[in-house]
Amino acid sequence: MFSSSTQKGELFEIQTKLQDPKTEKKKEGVKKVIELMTLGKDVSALFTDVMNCMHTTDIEIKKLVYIYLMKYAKYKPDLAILVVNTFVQDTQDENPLIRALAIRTMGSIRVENVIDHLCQPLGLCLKDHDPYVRKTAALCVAKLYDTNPELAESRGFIQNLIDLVSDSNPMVVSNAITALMEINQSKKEPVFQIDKKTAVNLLNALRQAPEWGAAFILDSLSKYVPKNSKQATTISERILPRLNHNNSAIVLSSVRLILHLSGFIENKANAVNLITKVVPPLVTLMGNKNEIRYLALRNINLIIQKWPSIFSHEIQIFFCRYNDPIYIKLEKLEILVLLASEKNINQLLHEFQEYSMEVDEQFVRKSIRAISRCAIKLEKSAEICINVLIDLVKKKINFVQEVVVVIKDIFRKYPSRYEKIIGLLSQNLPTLDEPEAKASMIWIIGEYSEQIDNAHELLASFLASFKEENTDVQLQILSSLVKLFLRKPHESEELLQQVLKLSTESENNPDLRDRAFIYWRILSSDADLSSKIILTEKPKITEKSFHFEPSVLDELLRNISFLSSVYHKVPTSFLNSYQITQNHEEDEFEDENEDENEDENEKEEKNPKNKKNIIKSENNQEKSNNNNNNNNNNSNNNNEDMIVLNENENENQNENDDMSLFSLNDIISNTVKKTQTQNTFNSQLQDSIFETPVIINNEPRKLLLNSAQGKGMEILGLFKRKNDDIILDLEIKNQTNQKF
Amino acid sequence: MACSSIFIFDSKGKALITRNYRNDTFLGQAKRYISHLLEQAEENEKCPISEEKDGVTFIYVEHNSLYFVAATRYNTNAAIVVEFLYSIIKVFQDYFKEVEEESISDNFVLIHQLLDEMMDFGYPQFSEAKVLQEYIVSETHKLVTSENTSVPIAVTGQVSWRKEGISHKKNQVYIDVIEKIKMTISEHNRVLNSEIIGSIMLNTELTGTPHCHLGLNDKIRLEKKSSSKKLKSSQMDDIKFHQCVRLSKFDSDRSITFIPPDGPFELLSYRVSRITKPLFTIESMIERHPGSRIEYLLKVKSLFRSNATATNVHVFIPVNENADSPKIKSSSGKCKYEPQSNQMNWWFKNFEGGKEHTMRAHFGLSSFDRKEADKRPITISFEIPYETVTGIRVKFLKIQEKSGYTALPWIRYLVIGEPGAYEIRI
Repeated sequence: MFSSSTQKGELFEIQTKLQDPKTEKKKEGVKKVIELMTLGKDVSALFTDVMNCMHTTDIEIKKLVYIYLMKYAKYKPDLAILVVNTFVQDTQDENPLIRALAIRTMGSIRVENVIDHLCQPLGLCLKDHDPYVRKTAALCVAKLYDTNPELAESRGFIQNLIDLVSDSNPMVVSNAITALMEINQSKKEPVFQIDKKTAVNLLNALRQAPEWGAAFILDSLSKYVPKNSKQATTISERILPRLNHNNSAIVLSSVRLILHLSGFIENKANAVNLITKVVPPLVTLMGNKNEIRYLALRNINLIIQKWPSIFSHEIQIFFCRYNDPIYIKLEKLEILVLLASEKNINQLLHEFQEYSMEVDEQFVRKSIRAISRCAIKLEKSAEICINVLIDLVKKKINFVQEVVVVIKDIFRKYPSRYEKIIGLLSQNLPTLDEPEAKASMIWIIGEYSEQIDNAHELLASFLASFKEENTDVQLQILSSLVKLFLRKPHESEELLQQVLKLSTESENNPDLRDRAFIYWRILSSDADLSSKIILTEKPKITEKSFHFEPSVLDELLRNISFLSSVYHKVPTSFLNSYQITQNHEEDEFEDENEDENEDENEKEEKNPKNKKNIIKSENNQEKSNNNNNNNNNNSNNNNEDMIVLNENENENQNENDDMSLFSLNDIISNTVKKTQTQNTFNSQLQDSIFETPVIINNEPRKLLLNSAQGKGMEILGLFKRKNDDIILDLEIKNQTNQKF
Repeated sequence: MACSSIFIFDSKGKALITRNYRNDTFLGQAKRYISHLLEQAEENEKCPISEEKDGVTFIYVEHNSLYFVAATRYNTNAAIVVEFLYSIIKVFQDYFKEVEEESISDNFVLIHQLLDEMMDFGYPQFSEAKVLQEYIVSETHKLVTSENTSVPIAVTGQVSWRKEGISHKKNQVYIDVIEKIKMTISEHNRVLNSEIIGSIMLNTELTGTPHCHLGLNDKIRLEKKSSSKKLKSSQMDDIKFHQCVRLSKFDSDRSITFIPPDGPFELLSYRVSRITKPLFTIESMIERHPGSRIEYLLKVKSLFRSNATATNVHVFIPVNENADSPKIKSSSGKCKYEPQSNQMNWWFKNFEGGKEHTMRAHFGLSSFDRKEADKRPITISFEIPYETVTGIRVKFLKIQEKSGYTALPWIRYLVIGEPGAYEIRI
């Protein structure tokens, strides 16, 4: 790095300054070092010189040297040991600022030699008479635990922390309980449980704690399980005033705690009364900074799912303003749909209609979708929702295609009720160019082919450009022609033969080919039976599919204001197990990831021929780009340790059949409506892209194939909903020592 | 759980400051994130909280084209992180007025010290600039010699926001009551939503440790039941206090008592979300003749009481993108076409209550224009001094200090409609 002569010169110049006996010169030198360090230059060559500056009474130089050490000590562990003495001396300095500084820095240096010498001064600092030193030492225990848990436990520091929880200074209490909570997280058995006495201590400290301390105390308190209803009431009364704090973190943490406590209050009326108290502060957060508004909206979404009525009077604050950033507008839309009721639907539709004419594509599409979701949610108001959609089509707004897509959903929910609008939709047929809109339209034509006189002509026009179409559209043309054939055999026999021929002979896409073969088999067996299978009644869709399961929802509500509530994922599902080894250089780190990807790609490429029909039909549900990865596997390296696989994930052919059928049913069993296996199979096959939306599932992936069965390969999988797409999320692990 | 590192990037994605608290996130990852963010920023604002590669979450806040970014690997309390990023900005502002690229790179030594003090192991510790300045000093105004620097008691004390031994020649307090109004009005002049965020800003110059008690008229009664239908007029939906206000005291008897920080701060803020009467309404007739011309006829009315006067009133009227040859006439005020932002700016220095003004405009439209009607709303920005929408008034401010001085409060009232906050759909 220091090849160029100018840099060498620069370093030399600094070195001279560092060695200068005058404090001022030394300071200049150290500052220069820190400046270069800030710019990302490697100044580790100056380690010894910088270290020598540590023996000084000048606190500023000391601080700067410490900052340097935190970064570079790990690269020079042998030299770092030399500073230990100075550290230990400093922890006994008469100035508490220096004592705290020394212990804080020492804890941040993750070098074994230094850690070994940390214990003795840390023990002293934990009992220091100055609260500033004690609060710093408390966090230092968590640091030590992070690098060397055994040491921290064997020296009894955990007990020291527990003692500090009842310290007289609120700041010390807050840091001590925070350190304990962090240590708890890394252990199977918690080292410390908050009991009644601790809870009282924390509540007392809360009254006087400065803002950050208060926020951490509130977070710790939400881990406390009150003994009885009375206790829950008492604690909640102490927390309520915190809702008036102007720091949004304190407000949100209080909201979480109050909602948590409300679950323990026996008197239902009191509990409800308590819950409604969180509404005004949450509404106020809507006037906060955008980041906080976004955070609050994500949480309000969860709260409404649990207590649907508490925000019903506040609907107007969720109306989108023109200047709202897009991420806020989209969250507001979600909430408006959640709040939609027969009472407010007119007002809402007016809003959605307004939004549908804005410029931002994503927002307009979501607004149109919101209208159809209201139609599906509110049966009585479905008619007026559809009228609004028709109106939008007539106005020829920018994204008419989206309307076609959402109307298909409405048809799924209310079959044979609104066919009259098919005519209007088919007028727009020539303008459709998006695959999803096309596929939706073709589905509608297939489904209502009996009522549409020229259905065969319409489908024939699509067939003409069959080869150029997207897979989704091709599959839909195939399915719709089969349906048409079953209803009006005479008009469409020829078309059917054409499409079957095209799909099986000239197309490389295995999804399409296999589906065509299956249809072919079914159709050539028994006409009645095929009608029964193919024209079967489809499972209905509900708006509830956007809701969480109760257990997941409760877990998310316990995480209000935490990232888990922002992502709407339970902590275990996104805190991934990706273990980083310490002391990695940045660049090494990046390289490693890439290697891993390649491994996984290789893995895929090696067995491209294992195709499983069942998996395939499921896979079509993912409308994401992942869909076409079959043929070019190397394109999916954007997921590090998680690959969205299509169908060729099975390594061991002999176990495939049982395994995949069983396991897929297993993972969808709690999400998709249960029907008889045969029926589910067929209706999914037939309507793949229009299948019942899988309920959002935040559970961790399930084990589908253990490594013993898979000869070293382990597969975990789960259906997920990401935005509006359903994704089969598979994780494949190589549990052997060899590379694939 | 805590956050892992804090980064500050300039508008081009260059890292100005990197502070790694837990050694599990790296500059390389943050750089990838910021370049992604900057790319996206041109089209749409990126969501401020997002999970990136290898399970690292990034949270960013933008200020003066600088990006303050926090990274974490844990299920962190996101609100704490966002608030902390803002408090960093606030502390920097107190230290070097303008927080911009230059002041950041000039003060990196100081910033390293500050970040070290404000956050430990990823947990925010302390963020009161006034007190930090006691023991972390910048080169420019170095008054304290570093040898005798010690921890001010305030850092771990109960009154963390006020340092000891403050003294002023003249003891006085300025009180500003400012209400910012946000409103959306439909094309039929119906109020769709309205919100008033009021705040009482104090600027105190008081000696010693003053105990203050602020009295407001009874408009401040916060209804205990929160069902909005039962709210009487002028009652507040919610109120937020600065950390110096004794919340439990307010909770028990509704009195606002506190020991103030020195200098300017927001004592409290309140919100009124119920539909209020509009302050301005607009009647508009816009005739579009695609391919040839577009005509505007606008009438703006002020609905507040007639002895109040709004100042600096700007009415922004959106105009089609490729309109040309403007002809504008207004009954009063000045109206100008601003082609760079595709709008007309109709400006009044003073706008009395209960008055109305009209304006006519005519634009040519190029024959290629086949665009849909512009959906941007008309917006109005304004200030109305000496007024509050809610009717809140400060009745008294009692100040008690052991030396027994008296101090005079100076009180001002102001209603503000910020640009973009008051919108009327067309």
